[in-house]
Amino acid sequence: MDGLTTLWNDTGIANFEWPGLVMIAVGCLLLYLAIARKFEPLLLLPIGFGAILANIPNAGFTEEGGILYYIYHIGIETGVFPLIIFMGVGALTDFGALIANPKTLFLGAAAQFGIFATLFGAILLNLIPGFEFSMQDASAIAIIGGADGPTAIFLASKLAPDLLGAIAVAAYSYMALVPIIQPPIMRALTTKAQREIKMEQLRPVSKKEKIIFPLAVLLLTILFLPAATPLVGMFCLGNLMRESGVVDRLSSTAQNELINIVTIFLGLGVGSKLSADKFLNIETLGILALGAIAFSIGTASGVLMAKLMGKFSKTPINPLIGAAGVSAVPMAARVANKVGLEANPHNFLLMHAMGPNVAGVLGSAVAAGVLLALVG
Amino acid sequence: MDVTESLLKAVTLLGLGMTFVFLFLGLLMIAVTLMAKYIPAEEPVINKSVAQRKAASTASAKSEINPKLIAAITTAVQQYRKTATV
Repeated sequence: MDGLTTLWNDTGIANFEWPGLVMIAVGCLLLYLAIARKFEPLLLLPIGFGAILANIPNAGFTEEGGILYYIYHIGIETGVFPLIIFMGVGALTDFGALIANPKTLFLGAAAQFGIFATLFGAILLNLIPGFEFSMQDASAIAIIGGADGPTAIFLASKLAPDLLGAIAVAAYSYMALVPIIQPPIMRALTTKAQREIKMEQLRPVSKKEKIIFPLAVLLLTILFLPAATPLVGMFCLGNLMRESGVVDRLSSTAQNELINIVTIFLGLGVGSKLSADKFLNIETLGILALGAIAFSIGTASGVLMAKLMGKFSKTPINPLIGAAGVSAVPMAARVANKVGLEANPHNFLLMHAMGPNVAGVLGSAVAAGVLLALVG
Repeated sequence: MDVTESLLKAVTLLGLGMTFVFLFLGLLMIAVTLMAKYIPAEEPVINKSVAQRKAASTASAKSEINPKLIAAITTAVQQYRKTATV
């Protein structure tokens, strides 16, 4: 009989507690969003599953000796996984559209306004009882507005490791929701005539320019913002591997096998942070709300900047491409293209929107560097 | 840190951060514009052997791309014909 009692005490049923069950349900919700709704499935699926594993009673996944514990400490706490992913993203990114139309760099810069504006939101939330965001927490939350998963995880792991789970989930959820969040803002800030503006065809970009570009970016980062070199440096390495054309094997590994392997572990590691005591609190709701605000402000400031630039530019600029400045490559560029096509079925903005889109990636990496340097 | 103090810090961060992001990407824009100005101009001066190699490489690149392009155009034409007849 004693044996039976011991066995019963070892079952999951006897050990379930409500918070753990709720977190398993959150994990299942993430799996549902990934599988049925196709919301960033590459990340939300391992994150959801990691959340389930992390909350199994008596399994010890997140305690010392458990696999999720090691994945988190080796890969995420050190910042290694997001950086490797960033290298892969660099290898996947074609800067051609940006080099052909360098003005779009300003659109990528303007869209980062969402990040810094959200700082105020996070601080003002402290007025509500239950919220206690430090300046570090606020900065890590604000970076959700950069719409760049690896950057958000990297910064959160450095500034606010306790909030990492909620920040990563918010960042990836909103990136998946770009096609829903952005269009209403884009339509509200532009007239139909503005959305119909046709842009000039982009010039062809030489291979040399594409090779020098990542080196130029790296040089500027070294000179002005060494705090951003982990992110920008890995990104430039990936991009140089791609554009140099001499290390196709490395480039293809970085943009396929390596990024895929690391994505699995990154997802699991983030999922392991979705434990009941860290996630089931009012602060998570605050983070989700602030993330949406950061995203919307970023989109709006990108569009407004594009309108402003259009007034002074010799060549026409369609304000819709400004919205792509929030990064979220390539989803935001596709959204700009789609909203443009609604206004004029013959106006393809995709290539033009890729410029601000990749500029946004650089912009959010620079913003992350600024926050690390000033707040970290 | 009280809220007003934090807000002041956020204002500084906003100002510094946005100025820096704009300056950084602005400098990059200047670098890219200079690159566009000077790099294509170099090409005619390249000595003959390099130019020849270049021509050969672009030719080979062309032949690499062409089949795909042809395939794409063929399918597009076929699809168009299908829709036209239906």
